[in-house]
Amino acid sequence: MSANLATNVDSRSFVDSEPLMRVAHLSVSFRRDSRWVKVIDNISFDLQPGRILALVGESGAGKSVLARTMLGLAGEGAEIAAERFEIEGVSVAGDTPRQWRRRRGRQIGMILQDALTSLDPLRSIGAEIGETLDAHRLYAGHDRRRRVLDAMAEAGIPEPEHRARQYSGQLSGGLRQRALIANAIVANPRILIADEPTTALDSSTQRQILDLLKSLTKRGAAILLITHDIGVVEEIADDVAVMKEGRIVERGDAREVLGAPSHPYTRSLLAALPEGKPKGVRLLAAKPAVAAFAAPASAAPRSPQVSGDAIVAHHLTKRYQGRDGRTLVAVDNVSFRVGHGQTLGLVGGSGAGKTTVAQILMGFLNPDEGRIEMLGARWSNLAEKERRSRRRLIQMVYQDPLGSFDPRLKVEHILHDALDASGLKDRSVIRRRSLELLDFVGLQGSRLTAHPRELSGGQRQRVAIARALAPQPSILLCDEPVASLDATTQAQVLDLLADIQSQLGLSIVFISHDLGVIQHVADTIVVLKDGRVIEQGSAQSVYAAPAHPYTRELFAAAPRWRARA
Amino acid sequence: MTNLLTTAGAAPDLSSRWASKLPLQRFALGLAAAVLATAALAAIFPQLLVDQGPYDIDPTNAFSPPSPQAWFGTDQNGRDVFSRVVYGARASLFIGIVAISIALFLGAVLGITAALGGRWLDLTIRRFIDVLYAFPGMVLALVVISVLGVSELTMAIAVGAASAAGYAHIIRAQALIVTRSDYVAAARALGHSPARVLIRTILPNIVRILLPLATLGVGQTIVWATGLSFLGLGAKPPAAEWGAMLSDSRNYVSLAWWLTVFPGAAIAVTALSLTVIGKSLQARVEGGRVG
Repeated sequence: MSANLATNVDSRSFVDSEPLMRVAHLSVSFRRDSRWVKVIDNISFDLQPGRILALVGESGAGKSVLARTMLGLAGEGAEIAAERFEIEGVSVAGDTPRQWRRRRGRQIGMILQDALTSLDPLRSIGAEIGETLDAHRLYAGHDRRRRVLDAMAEAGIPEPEHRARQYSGQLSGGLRQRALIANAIVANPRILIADEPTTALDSSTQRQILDLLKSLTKRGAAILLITHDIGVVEEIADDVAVMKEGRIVERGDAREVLGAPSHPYTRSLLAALPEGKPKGVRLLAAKPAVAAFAAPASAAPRSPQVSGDAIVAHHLTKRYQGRDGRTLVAVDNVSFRVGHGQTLGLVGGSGAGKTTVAQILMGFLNPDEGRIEMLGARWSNLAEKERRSRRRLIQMVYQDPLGSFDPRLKVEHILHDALDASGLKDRSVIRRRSLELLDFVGLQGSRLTAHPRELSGGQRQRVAIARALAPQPSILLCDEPVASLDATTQAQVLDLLADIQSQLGLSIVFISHDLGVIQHVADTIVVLKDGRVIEQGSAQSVYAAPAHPYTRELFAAAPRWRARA
Repeated sequence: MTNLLTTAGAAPDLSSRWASKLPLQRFALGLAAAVLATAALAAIFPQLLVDQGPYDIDPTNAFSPPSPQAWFGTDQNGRDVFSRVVYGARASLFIGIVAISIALFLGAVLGITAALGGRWLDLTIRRFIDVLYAFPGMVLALVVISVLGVSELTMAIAVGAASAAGYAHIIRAQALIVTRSDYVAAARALGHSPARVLIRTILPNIVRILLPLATLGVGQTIVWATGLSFLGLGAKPPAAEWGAMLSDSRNYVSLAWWLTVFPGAAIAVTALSLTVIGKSLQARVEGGRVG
């Protein structure tokens, strides 16, 4: 019986172009502090078989609430009103949680963003995917196993037999995402909801996942793709709806909307993209928020060495002893220099050695071979005592700002701690400098008493930048500082970093997997692969004519978005 | 907007942590806090709650069931069970708190040394912890008691030592998370001295998790300790201690249920309240870590 089911499902055609999901005038409200807040405001859309509808907007626009509502998971206390809410022609308005459970996985599949936390680390991938079938009492025994392996193959997982026995921790990011997709499609749902499915992936893996999603629509699936990445939308979406504050402000054919946006908000979203905009061009029209930032008289001279390079890395090599006794070369003979006031973009896929280079630059790791000179003096392989007094000269901005703050501290304590490290002891001076720093990064002084948890992603990154600037460094190491921010916030932070650089003459090492961002910020680019430098040169020359095949592949894989100016 | 529908499911994380608490949870927290406040009052000022002493014998009035005069009835010697339960709070809470303090102290020393002390120290301590783990806790406690002799204090030491291994494990894991965190890297990058990073950043963030652990743990150690008393290895009758009272009453279970039920209920309700409060503290601390 179950075998028949499989063939029936596979042969489902989508010549009937009845929408798989119809939503008309949907609103969702939550009670917050005894007031009703409308998070979704009067939204209508249809999901057509074989088509991808992309939902774009900044964080807080209500995209995720919409996705959860479509899965019947809006949450306790949510008030949902809709004129029409149909799945495969059946009204689901007022359905019980039990009815929704039968629908999830079977009629609607969900692909989540973070594959690492969405998969159970204690169960094999095969067991995890099989459970979805059990939940719907689909297939049994041998058929069940067959179906799990088929779903894994459909999701593009090589050697499914072997992978099914592995655990999520043993898989790469790309394979984990594929495992999630296999899990979403295993019970043959016709509607798929993908919530930022490629955000955490590097560009070539991202490309493969997008191709996979596209191929699913060829077999009649309707996909709702939630993303903040316009490049992704342009790449695979058929239709697009732009969301802002719970409303859809613009919708239509993806190419038309992106080519000729009519709503001012859509235009500002597109303008915020860094791709195709060389260094020095502001992403947002707003004037520099950075006011004159006077260094206190007591401060040490910012750049003791005016001539020469800020950082010179000579033939860095770092090896690790693997568990199985094999030696792993994480960084292999890497050399580069960063000029004063210049930005070096460090590009590469995951596992390319970017993080190890960052650790060596920060003086947390010593290279096995090679050396680093910082501001004209030796920096690597120093005794910690000698290094410590110069540590303030190179500061780091992390990908996850929240994780880089001591969880016990409020903003003021974070800044106090950083200023204290640079030798300021007078409380009133520290307070004044803290306020100046906040002002400098575009935050209000009242934020001093906030806990970073209470701030938005962009505000947190501003605090992190303020902390990095507190000891008056000469060099800033930015490790994917905008990777988890949406387009507008990303543009604000990039503009802020550019302003800071021109104000303070900082040298920046900017690590990113996002080629658009690198193109915008970098003067020179170093491309890493498997721990080796495969290409380096000025940003313009590398972009204009990438010499190495891997660089070309990287560029080709990146969702392409050229500003239409 | 013709039809109105509501769905239930995972609660939205839109509201703040406290506001999102359900009324039932808040009620349970309040109730648990009230129970613990009462237990603390009983432990410190028992005379405020009862006028009868726990050892006042009245043989003419033995085995009288619960009544308005004696709320929890009287025992074989006519002693007031309510008064004994109230006075018993001191010994039971004392044993629980001392035991958990010992367990957490040993656990913290072992766990933090393992995490921060380098590879060989870590390996050695982890093997030691594994060996401790492999021993049944009760057996370990019996060994300690047989060496140190029977008293409330040695029992607390025994229970504390027996449960240290588990805490060492948890504390080591937390210490590793903290030392590998970006915020410790950031503190080092600022040029703070290793001692300062250890004292101001690493240790406080490890200690943060101890309060909920301690609260959850006191409940467990009280249950353990009463178990040992029941076996006659801790407080001895006629001492007013909940475990000893249980032990004392077992010969009369069929005759006078109140002798068993009330001390037993005191143990259960106290342990439960500590667990409720501890869980809530834990959620707060973890919320702070994850965001």
